[in-house]
Amino acid sequence: MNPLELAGIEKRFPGVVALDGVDLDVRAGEIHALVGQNGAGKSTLAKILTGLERADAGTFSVDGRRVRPRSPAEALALGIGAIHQEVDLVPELSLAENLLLGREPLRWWGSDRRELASRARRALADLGVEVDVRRAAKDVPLGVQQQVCIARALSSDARILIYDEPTASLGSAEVERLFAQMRALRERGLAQVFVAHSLEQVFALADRITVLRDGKRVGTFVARESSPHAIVEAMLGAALGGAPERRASTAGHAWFEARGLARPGVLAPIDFALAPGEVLGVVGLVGSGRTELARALVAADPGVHGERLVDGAPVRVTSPRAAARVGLWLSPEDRKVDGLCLGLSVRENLALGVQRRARFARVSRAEQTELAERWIRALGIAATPEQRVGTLSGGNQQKVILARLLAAEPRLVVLDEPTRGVDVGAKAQLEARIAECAERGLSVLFISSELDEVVRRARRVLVLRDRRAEVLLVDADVAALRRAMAGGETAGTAPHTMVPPGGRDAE
Amino acid sequence: MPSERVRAKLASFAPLYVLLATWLVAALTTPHFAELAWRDGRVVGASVDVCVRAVPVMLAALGLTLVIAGGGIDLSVGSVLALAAVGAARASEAGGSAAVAVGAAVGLGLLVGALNGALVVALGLAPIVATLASMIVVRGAAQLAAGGVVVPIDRSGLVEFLGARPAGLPASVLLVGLLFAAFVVAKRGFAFGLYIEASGDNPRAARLAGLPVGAVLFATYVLCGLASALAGLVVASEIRAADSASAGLYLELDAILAVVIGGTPLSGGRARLLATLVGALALQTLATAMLMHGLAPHVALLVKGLVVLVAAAIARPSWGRAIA
Ligand SMILES: Nc1ncnc2c1ncn2[C@@H]1O[C@H](COP(=O)(O)OP(=O)(O)OP(=O)(O)O)[C@@H](O)[C@H]1O
Ligand SMILES: [Mg+2]
Repeated sequence: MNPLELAGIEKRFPGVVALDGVDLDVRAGEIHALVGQNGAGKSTLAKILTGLERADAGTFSVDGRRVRPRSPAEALALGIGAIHQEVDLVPELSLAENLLLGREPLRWWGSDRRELASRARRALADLGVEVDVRRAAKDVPLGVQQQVCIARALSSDARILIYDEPTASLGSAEVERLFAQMRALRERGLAQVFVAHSLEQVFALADRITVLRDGKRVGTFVARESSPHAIVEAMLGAALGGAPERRASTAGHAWFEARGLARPGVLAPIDFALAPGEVLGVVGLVGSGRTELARALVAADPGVHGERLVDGAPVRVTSPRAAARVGLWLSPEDRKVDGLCLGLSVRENLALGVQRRARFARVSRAEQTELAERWIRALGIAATPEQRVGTLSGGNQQKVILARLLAAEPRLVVLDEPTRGVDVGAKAQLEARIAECAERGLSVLFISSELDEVVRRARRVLVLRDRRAEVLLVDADVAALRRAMAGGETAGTAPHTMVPPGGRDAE
Repeated sequence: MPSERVRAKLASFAPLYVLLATWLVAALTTPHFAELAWRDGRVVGASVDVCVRAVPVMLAALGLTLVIAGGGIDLSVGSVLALAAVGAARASEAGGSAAVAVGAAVGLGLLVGALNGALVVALGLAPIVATLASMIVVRGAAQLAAGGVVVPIDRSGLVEFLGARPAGLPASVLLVGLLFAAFVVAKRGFAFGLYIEASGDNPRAARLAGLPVGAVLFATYVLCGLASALAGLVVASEIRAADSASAGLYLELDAILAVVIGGTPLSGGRARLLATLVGALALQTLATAMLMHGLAPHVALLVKGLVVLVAAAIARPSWGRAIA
């Protein structure tokens, strides 16, 4: 009898069958990976397991007992804990309060703070985490917040943990720590379900892998007897074409230049230049200033210093709107908070991109629909034009943002983690689409924590460290990037020397 | 699944069902309620009466729909109504023509709307706080301008202007139609509607997508001020006086209710203009029917509260489903 057994699970949403007869069994002491393309139904399955959604049909048993949790609290009472991609702590409360929320040790005058703190400290120490538990959740890094979520689940005696894309916003050191913990929990006999897109991570961790495609279970594979190749084939239902090769950066004049771009206290002055069609990579550890650089470039936050030159002439950019006027667009890191109007339809979100060019005259409904249909096809978005963006799967939401950006016919796009949460097949598709636009002269500032992706796309890579530019590397490999990010030897050019794009590095 | 789509479509007509149900119940229980007649070149009857009486709420609620769709709220609509009425009365008292009186009222409405917009957009005050303050201040200003008395409008072209009945319908009802048409054109014919809804749904994302979020939200408050001022004109010309203390009192509540019954989510992101009008009519149908029944005021309040609850529950936007 397995701790977790699902049979014939079905879940329908208006217009889609998200899950169609899915079976899943998870053993004690097993890490069970759940993989599949965007919209395959992974999150929906995770939500059913954790009480956020209810299945329309099928059976769900925990330790052989039929259950039907109707809320995360009920799921937790059954021993099922959830670690979501979006960490769900109360930002203003302390870590200790978050950890024991609803189970605070009480005294007649209220909660017993000392007992609260010591219990929380013990729960975290159990996971090997040392942190001041009195700090507010919003003041600690995401990785630590996630540890608190795990500790919270464990301290309520969870025997089954469900992780939905837990590594999506973690730095590589934090990912390592999470994995070490998951392995330790496996030793303790917990059943763990792990949703991920990175097959590298899946194979590093999982014992068995269940592949979903279009809401159906394709199969369950024993990791040791399978290969990434076989899993990808099962996910896509076909072999994956080779990843597009890196293209030589177009030799050409830098049309865009940033000089002394800075935001006091957040980002030290940074210079860089971009030629038409060039992809400039930006890498750095979590907190190194990558997102700050992206946001500063389009003046997303007030108080940005420095100059931006377009075609040699300085331009005034004081808001994202002004940035858009000169062709600068940002695809923000946090798609739900900064990227999309979740309550609006796919069509409306895409229309926002082209609407600016039409000024106040409305892009007609027919044109909007045509636009939406075109981009849905171009990027393979699993959605209809009138579907509300909030109901799209994570990866498909990411594609909508990208589509909006490209539809706006920009000259320079800043892509902050554009492939986060995007499946392998779609990743290649997105990369190809970006490369296509680059060929037509689009410049790209490509920020990613997936270094192999950066190396594949960008010849020049700006390495950030401690909120300043550390070095500009040309034709570096992943190992060199990693060294530079950690502040090791620097064999590249000092970042303040302008490397003429297509100049020295084009030999 | 087409049946799902049909269901969603049917659900979007919820305000209409509420109106029809209220009207039917009223017609069945109230003698003469359903009757319409043609007398002296005008249509008369309880239903026409409902339309006429609903005009101030309809006007204010139209403006409020835009503000709410943008993620805001405007509590000052009733006070703006009073200020605009006093302004029009004072202007015609001073011998101004109908045009001057209308200009004075509209100007005041736009001004207060702009102030509200500036407080919310430029100073970043919470809309409920900013407009609560201006609700109080503007009511005070109206009473100050009125000098503590009811300002009569006697020899003004204003009354004739708004008292006219082109095509047998009261001019005030046509005014609602005009404002509605103008808003629909602004919303549908231009990008304004999309801009409001995007800004209301997620202002941060809208800003990063290059939308002039501040200007859009500012405009919603200005338009709401304008709509409330028009309501002030209608009220003033109807009672041929401007009563700064009682005109438009609690108008904001009825206007918000009309918007809610119309299914515009209070969290913003959707503007349902026609549904708002239907919501306002439903409220007034109820009020008129209860009046004709001679229901005691306190009973009427209870009934109204209950009907509003039921109507709001029916019209609740489907995506605002209760938290699981
Ligand atoms: N509330 C909802 N309403 C309508 N459709 C929904 C809803 N939630 C999910 N869906 C649809 O169900 C399907 C499965 O979505 P799900 O989020 O489970 O995918 P996923 O496998 O997690 O994808 P991703 O890798 O992109 O996160 C998608 O087509 C999605 O659009
Ligand atoms: Mg998902």
